[in-house]
Amino acid sequence: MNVPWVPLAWLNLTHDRVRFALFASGIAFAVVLMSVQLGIMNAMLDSNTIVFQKLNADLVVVNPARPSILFRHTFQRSRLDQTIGVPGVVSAHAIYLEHELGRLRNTDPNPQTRGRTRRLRVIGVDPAAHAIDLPHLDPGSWEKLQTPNTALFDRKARPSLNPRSPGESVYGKLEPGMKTELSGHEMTLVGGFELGFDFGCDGTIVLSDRTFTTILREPYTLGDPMADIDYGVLRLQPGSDPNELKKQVQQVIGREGDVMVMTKAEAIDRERNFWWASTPIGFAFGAGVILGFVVGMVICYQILSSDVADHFAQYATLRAIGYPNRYLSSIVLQESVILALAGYLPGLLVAWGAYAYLTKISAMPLTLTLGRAALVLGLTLVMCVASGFLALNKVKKVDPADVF
Amino acid sequence: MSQSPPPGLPVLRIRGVNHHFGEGETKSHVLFDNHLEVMPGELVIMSGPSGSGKTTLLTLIGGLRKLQDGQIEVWHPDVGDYIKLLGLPEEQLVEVRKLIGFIFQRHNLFDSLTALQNVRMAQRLKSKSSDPDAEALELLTYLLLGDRDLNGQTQKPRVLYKPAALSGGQRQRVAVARALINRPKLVLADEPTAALDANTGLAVVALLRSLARVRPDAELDALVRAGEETSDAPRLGEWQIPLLKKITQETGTTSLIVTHDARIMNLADRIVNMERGRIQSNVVVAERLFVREGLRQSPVFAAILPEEQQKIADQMLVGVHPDQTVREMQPGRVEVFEPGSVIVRQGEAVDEHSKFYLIRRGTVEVLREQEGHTEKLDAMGPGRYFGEVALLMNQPRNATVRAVDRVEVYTVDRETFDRFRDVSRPFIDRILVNFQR
Repeated sequence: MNVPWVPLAWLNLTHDRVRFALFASGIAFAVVLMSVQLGIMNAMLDSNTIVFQKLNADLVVVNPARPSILFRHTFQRSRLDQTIGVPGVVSAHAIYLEHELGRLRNTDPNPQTRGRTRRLRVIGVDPAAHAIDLPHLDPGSWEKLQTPNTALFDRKARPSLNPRSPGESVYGKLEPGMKTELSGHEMTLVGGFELGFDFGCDGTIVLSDRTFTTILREPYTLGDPMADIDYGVLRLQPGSDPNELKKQVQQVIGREGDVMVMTKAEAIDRERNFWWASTPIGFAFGAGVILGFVVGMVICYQILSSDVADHFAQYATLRAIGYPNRYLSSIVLQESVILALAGYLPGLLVAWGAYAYLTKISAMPLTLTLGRAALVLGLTLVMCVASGFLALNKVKKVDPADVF
Repeated sequence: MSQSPPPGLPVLRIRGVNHHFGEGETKSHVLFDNHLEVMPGELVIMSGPSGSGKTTLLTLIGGLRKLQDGQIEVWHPDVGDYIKLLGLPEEQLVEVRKLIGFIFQRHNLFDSLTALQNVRMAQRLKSKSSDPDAEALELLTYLLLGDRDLNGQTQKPRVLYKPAALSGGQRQRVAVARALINRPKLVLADEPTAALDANTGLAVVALLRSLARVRPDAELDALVRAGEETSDAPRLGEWQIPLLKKITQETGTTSLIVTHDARIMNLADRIVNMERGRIQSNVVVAERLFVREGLRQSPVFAAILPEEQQKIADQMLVGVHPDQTVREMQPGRVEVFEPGSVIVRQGEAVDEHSKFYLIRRGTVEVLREQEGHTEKLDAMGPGRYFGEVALLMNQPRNATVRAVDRVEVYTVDRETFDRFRDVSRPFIDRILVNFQR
């Protein structure tokens, strides 16, 4: 009969429950620190890629010179039209974007509630194409958008900090049926949606492609104002392989190097990588995560090394009675994993609360996805196990001769 | 696989062991040229003042320190050969440690584990056991940590208590159980009874002695009766005896105990005394009694003080139980003669090299040649002596003594003999008168 297992690592840690709770809270602190930093970083990256996330597309066509949505590098619409000939491509639609010229002036007659004229992102799409899935769009809005000089507005535009206009965005009070002014042209708001703001813009307004080109391209463009487009969205036959069709489309239209075809996921990643690598977001919040990691490592190392010190005589006894050094090492590493899990669960719970609170006060979409929770778990485990490996140096000093 | 070394061979052999701590200017020698052999099943008490090197020697035997100089050989029952500790890599030292049961003065139990779990930590080093929990419970119960007290009355078992809830003595008994649960063939103990009361101390010593070799029922019963005779004498409970017999079905355990506890000194088979890093004396108690009794029979030594007898005896001892043969001649202490060889020859003149003999093992015959024929005067066995008359009278040997079989004799040299002869002069003179008459 096998001798029953003695869960020494667990019992050593939990023997004094108050002490264990303190240990776990130390690790939990690091978990919260890392989670919040990751949450804010991801919220920023999420908000900056929201347009791509909401594209109703399997493939996205873009000018390869365009590093991000904010930059204006267009390509010819005719290139997009060429894709229709590729077997498996069901539809191809243009997306027009403007970040510089779009200025919304609130024409509310009440000067108290009238917002300042501000720049915003303007998206032009064919209302019949449903090229973009606008979240929480008022019913019938796409149909209403067919009427010239109508617009859909973003109810989740950057909130106003003015205490006299609670709940309003920085653009002032906006609601369906209201008339406003976009870049000097009167617009009627026919519906609202909830997209959100980001680093590049405070809000978004969606126009039909006709209205868009009339207001924001014709005055500035020679020739066909609809000829140059910002993005092309392709929908594929159900069940087809986007990666395979991407190659085929690229072969058809990409030979001259003026366009690049990506899957939707690649487009989101490309935009995300731009913000992560080319702006301080990655560094600032990545450093925050590293700081949390290091703080956690220090805390965990202190816990483990003090635990080894507290049990020095007992560990020496184990070595004296015939346990090899690797057994003691395994105890310390088991303790590090237990600490990681014991700190992770309450830490994640606190982080979840912190996400909700930060989302409420900042309107940034801090979301705790399963993948992000798993990432924090992975970081916590690596953090604690790395501390465990550092604490092994203490274990190596255990001398079995000390027992006498 | 051989559980014990071949007959006559030790379970532990220490040869020329030196040890130092520190290096350079801080180098400090703590052990100097130590030799010791311990036979299977012996209970060895190591005594000596603090700092004499007992504990260092114990840690070297147990493979807890790297041996620097000399050799220590420990019998490995599974391998059937000795393991030499000098230069042994750490992984193999770990295996040596598994052969040994360690009892530490500072019991070093895990606070987070119950008494049973602390014992289980040692059990897990052994791959399998028929019923590990039952074995541990039996041992802990024998050590009065189970559901019965000394008188057999029901008590609250302590086996599921953590060390913080146990007294110092109870913790020490858990440590004893941890050391003995795997029935090691070698036990190294540092003051194992220091924290124990008389009864539990006796229980531990009785356990070590019974693990060493089978004890007669009368001896075990005496441990129970001791308390009936005098109320303050330590004793075992009657119910402990069957449990002790069950626990100690497998014998042959050798114990080396560092202790200053006078209560267990008289139970030792061998007493090793260390001073200033050297083994000053290595006494097999039975051998010492044998030699003293032999000397006491001789009129030359009978009249001197017991302490003086003890001194002579200690000069003659070789550290081997009289039941066992010595493996090599030790001039000045023991000489070995093959069958038929002459130990003293009639007519041989005595000189400064002549000796007094005490038979250790074997049989001799005493022969006298008279008028051309040889007469056998006597045959003598262990405990008998010869050779004193010629030394006393300073005359040639008056008879021949010849080994009948392999004979081992203790010897006392002429110088020692003459020294005590002067002390015992009046008594000896009376004997000589009788002898000459």
